[in-house]
Amino acid sequence: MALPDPFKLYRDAITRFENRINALAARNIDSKEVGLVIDQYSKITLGLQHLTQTSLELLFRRMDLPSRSEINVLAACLQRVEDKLDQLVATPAPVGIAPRPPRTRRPLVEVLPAPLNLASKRKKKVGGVDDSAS
Amino acid sequence: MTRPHDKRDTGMSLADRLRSEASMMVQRGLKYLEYLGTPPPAVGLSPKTLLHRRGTLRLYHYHATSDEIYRVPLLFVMATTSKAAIFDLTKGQSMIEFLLVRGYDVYVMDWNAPSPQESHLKLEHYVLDFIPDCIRRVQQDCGVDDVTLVGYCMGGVLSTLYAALHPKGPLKNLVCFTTPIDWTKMPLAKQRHFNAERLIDATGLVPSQTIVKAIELHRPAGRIAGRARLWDNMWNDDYVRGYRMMARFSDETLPLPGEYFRQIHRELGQRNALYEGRLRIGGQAVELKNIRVSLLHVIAQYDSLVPPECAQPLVAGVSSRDKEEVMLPGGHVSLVAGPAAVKRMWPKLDQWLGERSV
Repeated sequence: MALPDPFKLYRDAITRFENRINALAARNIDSKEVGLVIDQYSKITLGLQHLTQTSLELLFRRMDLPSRSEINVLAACLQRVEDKLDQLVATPAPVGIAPRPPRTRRPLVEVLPAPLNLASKRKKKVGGVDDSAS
Repeated sequence: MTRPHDKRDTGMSLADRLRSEASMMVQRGLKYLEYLGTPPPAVGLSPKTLLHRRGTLRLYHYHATSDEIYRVPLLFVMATTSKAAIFDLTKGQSMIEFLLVRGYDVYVMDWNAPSPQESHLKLEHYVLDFIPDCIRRVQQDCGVDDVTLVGYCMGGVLSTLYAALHPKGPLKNLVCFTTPIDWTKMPLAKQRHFNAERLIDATGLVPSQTIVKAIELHRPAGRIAGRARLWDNMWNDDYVRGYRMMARFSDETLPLPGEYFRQIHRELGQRNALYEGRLRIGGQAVELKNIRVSLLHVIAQYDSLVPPECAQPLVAGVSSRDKEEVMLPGGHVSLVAGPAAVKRMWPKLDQWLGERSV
């Protein structure tokens, strides 16, 4: 008698669980309840973020440290300087890269045996290329 | 995927089965310790040159690996919430490496997390500034006027908008992967009972965690089930490597500029303006019928984020005479990366592009 495989049972259970939950979510994703959950989640997240931000700003001011917004302004300034440098300095030729190959490549054309079906039944493609090879 | 001892399943005695299960448990434990102690596999390692950067935008050129390349270069436009490393996972699983070997000249528009100073960015910046700027730089770099745009998800939307607004060129071909057009068929876009403004934080950006949670709403059990399967397959190095690469893709989700998000939510999500032909970018009407270049749209059959019925109106709506829609089994990410993509999507892409890149 074949023994039941506990891991196969486990894997099947996981797949069933996943399919059921995902199907439930797919059915209800546009419902009012899900909308309210998203709203609540975003409200709490934004509230916490505001609270953290205010407290940290106060702490940074007390400790005489720059705030996140000040660092962001500094980062933006540096970024502008780097971008300007990129524009001013000519891009050096990449070292160690072989010269670019010629742009002469053509697609490989497969030689197919003569089609057995009638031409009228073959799928036609605009441009005259028969895609029966695909 | 089967475990090693599954092959010997029939006819195993209870003692053998217990011994085998115990051995697997030990292997899992040892591998889990290794998992905890090692960093995730490095991705995006194909040699490339940074051609241009400007704020959130990065333009890369990948180094050719074949002796002869196609005339028309490819310019990838990555989805604005993700890093382009999904196209360049690791050796043997990198779409970019595959295309280089097949003789394509590959450029990629990648994104970095936008700074709070970029919270004002709108669709106009992406469609009328970033893409045309990168196309000009690609033309200058390779010396060819024609360019093929390849967009993934929102990158596909941006590429489509660009193509519709520039019918006179220089685009030669447009390739889109799982690109949403009819947003009334997009599950989360149908949700109208929340205040989208609350998703934008004090810095004016939509945080990456919020985006991850929104994506997970489509498949809320996916993460838990994924972890359970990871434990079951912990002995399998290939499985673990693949899992970690995909997990990294999710972990590296990028924030979005608030204004861009507002515009997408209002115009595409609520008004369905792209599908209904009422979208205006920079004062110009965007009409799909203005697209006349060769078009390939690859759709994922089991995509929960962009279901096929949401993506299908693209091919139906353009005026191109040479257009093709391909629906492949797979999900939103497995369409472009992973073992299924290697077998199905990449060869199809090569076959389609090859004929149109000369």
